[in-house]
Amino acid sequence: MARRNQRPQLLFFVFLTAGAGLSAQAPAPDLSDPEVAHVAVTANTIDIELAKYAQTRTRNTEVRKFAATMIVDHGAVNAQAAALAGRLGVTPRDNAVSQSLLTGAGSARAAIEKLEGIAFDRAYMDREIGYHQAVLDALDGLLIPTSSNPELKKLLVDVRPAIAAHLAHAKQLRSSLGSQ
Amino acid sequence: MTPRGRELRRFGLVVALAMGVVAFAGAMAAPRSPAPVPRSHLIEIRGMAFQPAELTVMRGDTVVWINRDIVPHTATASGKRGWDTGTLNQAEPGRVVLRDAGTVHYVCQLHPTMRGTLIVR
Repeated sequence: MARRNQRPQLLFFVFLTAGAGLSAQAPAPDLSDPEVAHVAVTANTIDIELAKYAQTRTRNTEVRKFAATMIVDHGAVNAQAAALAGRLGVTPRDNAVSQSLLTGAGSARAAIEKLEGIAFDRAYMDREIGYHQAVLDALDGLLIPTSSNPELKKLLVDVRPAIAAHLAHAKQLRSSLGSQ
Repeated sequence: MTPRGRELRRFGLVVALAMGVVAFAGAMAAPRSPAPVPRSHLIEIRGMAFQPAELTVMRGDTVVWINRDIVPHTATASGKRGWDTGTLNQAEPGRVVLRDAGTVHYVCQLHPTMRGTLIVR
């Protein structure tokens, strides 16, 4: 993975931090390839973990099914990202951005932990809409047009429709839960 | 019977025989409509969509879905005679034989925004 490709990837994860409730204005530190790979896995894992938590809290069948899909799909993307990292000889390494993502995810979870019933379902779906919209914006506006590593670009292009479908599904489901 | 009458009768018999031979030969040579041979049709699941999204098939045909996406999918028809490919992981195919005529709408159970239609004739 060429060093010049790191910045767009990093900005992608800064967008992700916005989706997770963190500031998107923070300056992006310079990450090595192993650190970028760690951030990618962390970002997917955060959505998987929140989905697992949501499954223990929701009583809504559709919300539970949505959460199950997030676990499976982001798990599949993680597997592809890990395989790509392996082919490129990159070993993921923990870093400040990953830690920041985890902190933001913790805050997001703390906010919805206090909620019950439909209020919980609405907050979870709102968070999923924000998360997937942020990822989609980053893919369209930054990552796909600027990435030059062919394997990385292909992975991003392949993942994009899944993110868009998740977003549409989340909006549809959130709409069915009513306002507030 | 006059000679003229006998000649006409002979001529009539010859004509009738000739027509019979022609009819028989025609019947033997006429192309028979062959029994429909069941076909197989491929629908690719790519970019979170069924491609093609609508397909017309004949009764007895087989439809094969193959998942080209990273994430798993299903092709699942609702209703009394509903069918389901089950979960198809990346590069995994699933097949269904369509035995009943009609229009069948189906979805991916994991991603309900993905929809497809089969018209079975």
